[in-house]
Amino acid sequence: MKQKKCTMYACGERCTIFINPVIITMYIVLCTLYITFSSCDSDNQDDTTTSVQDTSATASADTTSPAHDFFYSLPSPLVMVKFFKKTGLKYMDGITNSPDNVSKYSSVHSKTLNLGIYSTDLAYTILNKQLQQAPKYMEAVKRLSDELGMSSLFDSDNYLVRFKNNLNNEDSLINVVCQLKSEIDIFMNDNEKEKQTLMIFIGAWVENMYIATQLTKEANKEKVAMRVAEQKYILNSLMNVSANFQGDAEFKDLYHKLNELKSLFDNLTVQGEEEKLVMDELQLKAITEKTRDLRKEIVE
Amino acid sequence: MKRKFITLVFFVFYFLFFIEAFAQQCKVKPIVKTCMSSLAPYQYDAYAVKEIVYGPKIKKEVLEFAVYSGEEYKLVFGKTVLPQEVGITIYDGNPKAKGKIIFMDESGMKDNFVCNFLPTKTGTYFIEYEIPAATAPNQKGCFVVLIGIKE
Repeated sequence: MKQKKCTMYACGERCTIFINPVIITMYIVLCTLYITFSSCDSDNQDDTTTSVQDTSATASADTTSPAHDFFYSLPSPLVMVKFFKKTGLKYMDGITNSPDNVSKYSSVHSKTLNLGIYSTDLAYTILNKQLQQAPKYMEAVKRLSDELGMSSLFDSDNYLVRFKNNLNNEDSLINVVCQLKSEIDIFMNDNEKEKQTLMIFIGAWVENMYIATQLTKEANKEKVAMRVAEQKYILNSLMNVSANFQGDAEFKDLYHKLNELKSLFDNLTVQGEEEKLVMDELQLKAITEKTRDLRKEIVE
Repeated sequence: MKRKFITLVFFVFYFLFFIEAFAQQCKVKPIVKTCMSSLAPYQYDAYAVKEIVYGPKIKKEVLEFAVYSGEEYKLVFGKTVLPQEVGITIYDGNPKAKGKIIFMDESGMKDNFVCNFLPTKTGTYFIEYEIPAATAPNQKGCFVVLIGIKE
């Protein structure tokens, strides 16, 4: 039998299929019908959503930002910790969540949130050169990742071994963590684990806020307070995404608490053309306490 | 003969369905891996992926990402797997409000587009991408943005 070669491309992937010529003919006929109907359908859809009729290259007013566009564009724990470290925040022993607590987390909800908490603690220990502590946090991250079905990620590139072999080289440790983060992001996207991605981010963000607000006495208070105030924008993005899951029974309480924290940030005043955020002592205290309570609920 | 025809129809529609389902999958991993080399020496921070669906008319869509002031950012746009070029404009705020343009890709090239910037304030940046009208039915593609930060 004579075979014809058909090649198609999709998202950079290529596949080759061999098909009978009779089927090819039928396929072309049906393709035409299918295309005709689907094109008509999309035309109709467009008519209903766009009020202004336009036949040429004028942009439509259809500007949307669906929630899933956010998921992989929230900052990583490493960047968040680095951001606060620049204000002069020092390392304080015992402020992070003990890696020994890792066995306490039994539900998927608590494991996911604490994976975020430990991700920040890992970044915090690396950037503060706490090389005795860092491997313990890497192990805690691995354990929770394994329990959440991501064991293949760590095993694929021997992340834990590479991490332990590079303990004397901060840059290499950062590289390992960045690569692992990209693997986790891809895994989450491929498996459509949007809620889990968000929860990991929430855990990481809360831990970072907790460390920063608890250490304000040890650093340049004004600088740290300014950085804390700027978290308003990150929290706004976070809440936009979280709104999609507010009906979720497990997420409801967390959403409510984050919303309370957001209200405190909403009270901050904005000054000047540069829209600089201003936060007074009382506001910082309220944010510090709310963050501490929220973090306590996650880690205990 | 009628039976054969029905079998053929069934097969062809099944095949069409398969093609569509296959095309809908955004294979992010190979795109991210390819773009990662363009990100170096910046540290990987995050990535965003968007499935592009070309429609009968040009349309604009927006993707948001959070930035910290004082950090140097590098964005790498993976556009090579798009069937048609997508125009990119980056704003330092909501383009519908006070957002100012900080970058615009007018190259018209489907190569990976790279840009660097230093935000002066923490907040949300917006990537507006202009999707041209479809030149073929059910035209789709993947648009990936890698976000890196200077060490």
